Amino acid sequence: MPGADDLQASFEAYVVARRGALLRTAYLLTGDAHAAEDLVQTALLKVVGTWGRIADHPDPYVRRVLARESVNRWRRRRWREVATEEPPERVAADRAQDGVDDRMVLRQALDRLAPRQRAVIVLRYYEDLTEAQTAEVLGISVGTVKSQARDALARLRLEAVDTVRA
Amino acid sequence: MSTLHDLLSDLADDAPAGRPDPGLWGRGVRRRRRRQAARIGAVVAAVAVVAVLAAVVRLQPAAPPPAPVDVPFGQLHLPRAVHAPGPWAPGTDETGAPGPLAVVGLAQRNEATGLRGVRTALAVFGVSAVDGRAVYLDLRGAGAGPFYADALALSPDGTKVGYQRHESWRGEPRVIGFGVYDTVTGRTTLLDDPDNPVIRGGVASELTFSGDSRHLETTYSLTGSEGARQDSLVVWDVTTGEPTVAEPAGHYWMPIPGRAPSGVVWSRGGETFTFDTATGRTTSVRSGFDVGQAVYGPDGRSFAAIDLAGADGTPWRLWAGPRPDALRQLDPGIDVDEILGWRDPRHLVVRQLPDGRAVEVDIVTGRATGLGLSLDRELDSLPRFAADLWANPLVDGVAPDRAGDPRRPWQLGAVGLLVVLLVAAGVLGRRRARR
Repeated sequence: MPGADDLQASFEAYVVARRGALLRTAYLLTGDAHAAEDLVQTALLKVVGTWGRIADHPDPYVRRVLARESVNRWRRRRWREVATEEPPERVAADRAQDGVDDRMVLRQALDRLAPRQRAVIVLRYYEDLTEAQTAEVLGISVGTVKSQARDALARLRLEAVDTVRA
Repeated sequence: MSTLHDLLSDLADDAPAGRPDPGLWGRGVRRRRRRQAARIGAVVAAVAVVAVLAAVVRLQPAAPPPAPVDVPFGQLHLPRAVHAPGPWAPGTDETGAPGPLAVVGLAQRNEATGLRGVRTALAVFGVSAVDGRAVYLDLRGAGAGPFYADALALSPDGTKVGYQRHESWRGEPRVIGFGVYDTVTGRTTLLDDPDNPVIRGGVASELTFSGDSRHLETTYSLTGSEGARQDSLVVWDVTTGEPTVAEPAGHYWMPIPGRAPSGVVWSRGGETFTFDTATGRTTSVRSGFDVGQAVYGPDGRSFAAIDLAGADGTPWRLWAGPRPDALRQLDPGIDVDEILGWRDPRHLVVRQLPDGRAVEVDIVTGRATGLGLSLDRELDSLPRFAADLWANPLVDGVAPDRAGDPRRPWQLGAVGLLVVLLVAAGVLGRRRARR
């Protein structure tokens, strides 16, 4: 059984090796650089307590904490934020005129997804997890993953990400 | 056309690079410790709440069964062991009428004052003749006493408790009348003498019920004088509240109450008098000794009396027989200080003071049998028994539930609630800080 120093060393090595990848996923989940850093920081803090059990294969657990924390943060934040009367402008309508690139379109389209739909999209189509793995990460059923993915893709297409092939 | 994966990868290129935080491990370890402490706190709080709730449930006295209203005489029993209620036991104001009583007595009772204070005072209690439960009697107008065992009477059938009513006058209690508490209905009859709003004279003499449980016998001055030869024997019909003078004033000594199945009985010198409450006539029988107490048997003919045996300090003697004029001296093996009652026309129950040891005496053979009575140490004085109930078999006494301070559940609940609130505040504070 490794000692505390060994665990700390392996954790810090993991952070050095995987922080960039985690930040990329977190950025897709949050759409904001600061929020992404904060999300990764929180997820890593949370896994310290269980590092002794997951050190050999930490990615699935860290990913799970990251994704669930992202969804839960949105839930906690939702009741504290003031709703605006006017919906955000639709990017699609402006896209042709302004020539905004696909990256901006996708980011704003992702922003309009429900957090769990967004998480499903990121896990399925960026992390390339299977439906079952996505369901396990988010703690939902495979059927829910399917329906959330279907609805999210429809929403993305509606938001003019229509060149996308899933 | 790009795949969604490609688009997402492109978008992820905008993610910040950032640098690893070197203190992350340490903060994570501290976070884990805080969470463990919070978990332990939550468990402790939950255990505390459960313990408090359990204590509340356990400490709350179970609701007593309804008072027996109409119980056949054969089901009423005197206890061998007389137990006072616990000092925090409830009173009849809370429990309702207790039903026929076997015993009344005095014991120390606690009263909560304020949040933590306790006031202890002598109080009257009764022991049920039906189930042996002991309960404090909240007697209307009795005030804080003073209570003397002699100033308290239990009717022979156990359905009425007679007592003195007091008021405070210049810091001292004084007697303003009498009261009779009906143990079956819970009603109180106040006995007032309109000519004597303050009762003076021989009020310290014992209260007694007549053998038919209908009259309360009192001795006091009808003129309001504290002087000698001023006391009258006044009997009160407890059903109408009407007083009748059974023996007018004029005697130096107060009458010594006795008992018969009907009428009012008292002794004076060598004579035993019987006052017929229906006709107002008084008859008497003469004994060849100075009568301390005279009691007629349940058949109205057998007779027992205590012989005061002069003033030379010799023990009192017991005489009994089938008729007042056919008595024989008995030796029950104890110093006979009081005749308690009859088990039947042939068997008499007597006790000695101050230990309350009692024996049953066969007035034909003179054979004495111990009754094995025992008294709770909490008793302030010897208890008074419902005399008619000596005719029924004795039963074991019922030890009281030791009810605790009624504020205790609320105090524990408040502590538990405080713990829960503190833990909740800690958890909320932690969450806010985390956000």
